[in-house]
Amino acid sequence: MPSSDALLEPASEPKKARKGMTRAEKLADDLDDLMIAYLKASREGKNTGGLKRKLEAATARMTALQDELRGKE
Amino acid sequence: MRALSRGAWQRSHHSARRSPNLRVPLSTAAPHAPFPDLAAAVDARTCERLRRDGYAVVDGAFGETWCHLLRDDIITLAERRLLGRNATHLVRGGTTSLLEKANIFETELGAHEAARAAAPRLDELYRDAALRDRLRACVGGPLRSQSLKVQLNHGGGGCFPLHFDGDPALDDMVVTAVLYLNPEWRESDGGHLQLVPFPEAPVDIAPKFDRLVLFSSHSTLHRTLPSSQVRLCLTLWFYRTRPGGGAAPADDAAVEKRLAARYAYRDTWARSIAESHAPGPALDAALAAHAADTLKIEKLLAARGVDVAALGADAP
Repeated sequence: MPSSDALLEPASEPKKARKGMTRAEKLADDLDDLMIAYLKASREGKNTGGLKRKLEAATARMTALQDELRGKE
Repeated sequence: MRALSRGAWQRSHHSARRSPNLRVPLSTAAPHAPFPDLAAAVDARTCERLRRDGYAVVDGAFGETWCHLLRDDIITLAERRLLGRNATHLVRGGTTSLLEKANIFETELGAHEAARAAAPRLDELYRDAALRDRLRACVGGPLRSQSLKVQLNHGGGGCFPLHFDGDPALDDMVVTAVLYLNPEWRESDGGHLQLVPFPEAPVDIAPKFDRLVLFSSHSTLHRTLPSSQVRLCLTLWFYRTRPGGGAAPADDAAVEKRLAARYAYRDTWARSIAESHAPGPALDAALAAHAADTLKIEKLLAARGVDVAALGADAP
């Protein structure tokens, strides 16, 4: 869908410094790192089972955190 | 009329199948794999389906080797953090809010030089005109340019709301082509492409590895259903002139059909917006905009003599 701003501006998400991040930002950062590790392992034909489980666990933590933050709004 | 049809959205073969236990990066294993014959992949029956039904599915169009090479390139882009979070600028009442999709990361190759440099196979596909030339013969008329976007869905329910690609009032996009790059996809993973060839019933298409889906950009309502697992794909859009190059030829019947589809699927549309974005003020604004647009569309259709009651909700 060419509705994304990615069409208008080059997309780039450089890794940010963790200092000063909120809990949600840190968790999102961890998720990004896990995702990249998972994709690299997948590309290299390595066993991805462990990373996949970690990813699912991190995703569940993120969902729980978002629910918690939503509850505070 | 323009604002309505646009809604409130200002958006802005070689068999190299790798054993799970014995795989090497294809970027090193097959550096000179010949580019797939995409013209041959779109045969006469595919063209006929695209013209008749508005969509067509081609399995095996790229071949496993090239699909792995393209997938590897997307992974490289993720690794180098060259993918950005999908976000929509929602303009309403003079204010703009940023509506981010949960778990969707992507980049548009034509606008991203660093991505093209880091992903040579994607760049080759972006520059190759064979598929475009074949589709030109398929749909008639000129197809002078294309754009390419890659997408990484992190899973965890990542999805897209119902939408049409492009806007006939603003661009002359003709055909959308989506290639799926998920070698380990299973039915339970979800992430199907749901096409709504209105007034026909929706069709769910599995995002299987090396599956190419072609559809009419302006007239096919579609969405991505929630994916529980990591999901990769790329999309090519083909234009009469160039991206953002101007309005498509006026077609009042097509405009009315878009409005009718949007009205008929208004409830599903709203649910899909809610599913695709994290809760918050931007989502609330998007849902309010959708509701307001739905009312305007209802009035417009009624003024054109369309029996809106017959369209019901989520027809057929």
